[in-house]
Amino acid sequence: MTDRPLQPMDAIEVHGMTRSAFILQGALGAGALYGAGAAGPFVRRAFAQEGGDAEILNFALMLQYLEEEFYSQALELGLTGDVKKLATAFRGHEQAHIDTLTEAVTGAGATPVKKPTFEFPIEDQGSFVTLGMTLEDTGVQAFNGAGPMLTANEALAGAGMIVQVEARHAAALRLAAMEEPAPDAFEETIEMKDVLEAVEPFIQK
Amino acid sequence: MEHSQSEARAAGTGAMQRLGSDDSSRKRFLKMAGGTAVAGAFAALLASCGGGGDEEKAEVDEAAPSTAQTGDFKILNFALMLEYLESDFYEKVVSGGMLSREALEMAKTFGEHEREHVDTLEAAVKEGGEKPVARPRTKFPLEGEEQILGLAAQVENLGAAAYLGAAGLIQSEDVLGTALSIHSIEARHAAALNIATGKEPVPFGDTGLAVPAEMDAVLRMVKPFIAT
Repeated sequence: MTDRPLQPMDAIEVHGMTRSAFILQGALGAGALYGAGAAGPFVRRAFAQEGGDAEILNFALMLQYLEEEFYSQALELGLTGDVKKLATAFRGHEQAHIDTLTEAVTGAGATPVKKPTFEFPIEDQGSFVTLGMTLEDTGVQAFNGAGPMLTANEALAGAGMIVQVEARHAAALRLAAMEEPAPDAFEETIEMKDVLEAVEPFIQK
Repeated sequence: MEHSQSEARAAGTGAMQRLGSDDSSRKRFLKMAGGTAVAGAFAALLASCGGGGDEEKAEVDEAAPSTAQTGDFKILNFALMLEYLESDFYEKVVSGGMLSREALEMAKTFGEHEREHVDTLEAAVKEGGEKPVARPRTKFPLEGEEQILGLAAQVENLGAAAYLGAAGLIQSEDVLGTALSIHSIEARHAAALNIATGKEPVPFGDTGLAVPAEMDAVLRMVKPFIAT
């Protein structure tokens, strides 16, 4: 996979950065624009307690809290038409993911991470679709990056069932934003620590 | 909706519980995958492919118990067979001249992705010193844009379900990483095609959980597309 030719999307996006780095910076940029500046210790504290599957599952849970809250806030913006339908359905899926992961973390003998208070720089349908696309793409890449590290089959199976739905969300929102639903033949991966840094700007201390 | 939600969620949870019911479940599933039912179905399907010359066909019907490694190669070859099908499908669709501009662009892009999946999976099988499965000759009923997009959606949704079902059987972290990086792309294709055909991008009710398909079920479902 390392020697596959550079894809057009990789090339456009830029200046020697990888796609995942580009996406992360986009997410960070959006947070910064909104004025939610420096990354704080909130997330790291929440994850300091455990390792292994429980840590990865809690990381996934945190992302699902973020996404569910994102759609909830978006639905207060007066979305319309197909975009409103997508946001409504997707919010339901994220809530289901929260339930599944909360159970999984508890089942792994750990304490589910507490839901943070989030705030997102969205003010209309357009900014919702753009940030939604970035968050879902990042979610997929985060799950794919962490997936192979899971040791229990139950955890891997659950993560797989969730990530496929996230990928479908990402594709639908990309189409809504007039972007390619699948920008490459292979999904990029992003490491947990990078994802946590990227989402910090959306967390209210 | 409430009804289907709880039902489907129970099904998803059930699958997770079955998979996670004991520490050796991954090994146990592998043994099943290497057992007679699936290997037999796979061998029968491959035998019906024809065209490739018997001596070139990979040995997939092994009676001996699978080691982790041969299990992963079986899964890689299974995935390769699906990618051959998808790749051929888009090739025929693109050259068939029955699609409007937008649908044609999508078919070209997705077809290119499938070709890359084929290349990567072939290389992965060969790197392990194993033989890639013989490329099947395919046949698809392509009679107009509506039918083509419907079939594409069907094939991509099945592909995503197949990768999801196989992921838990994979032993190697590298192979799992590759499978996951393809799985979510197939899911993106499936979602886009569902939208193009007026269906929900996430066709699992309110469960929020994708439904996996087991290898033998997938092989049964693709059989109509294999020319004998």
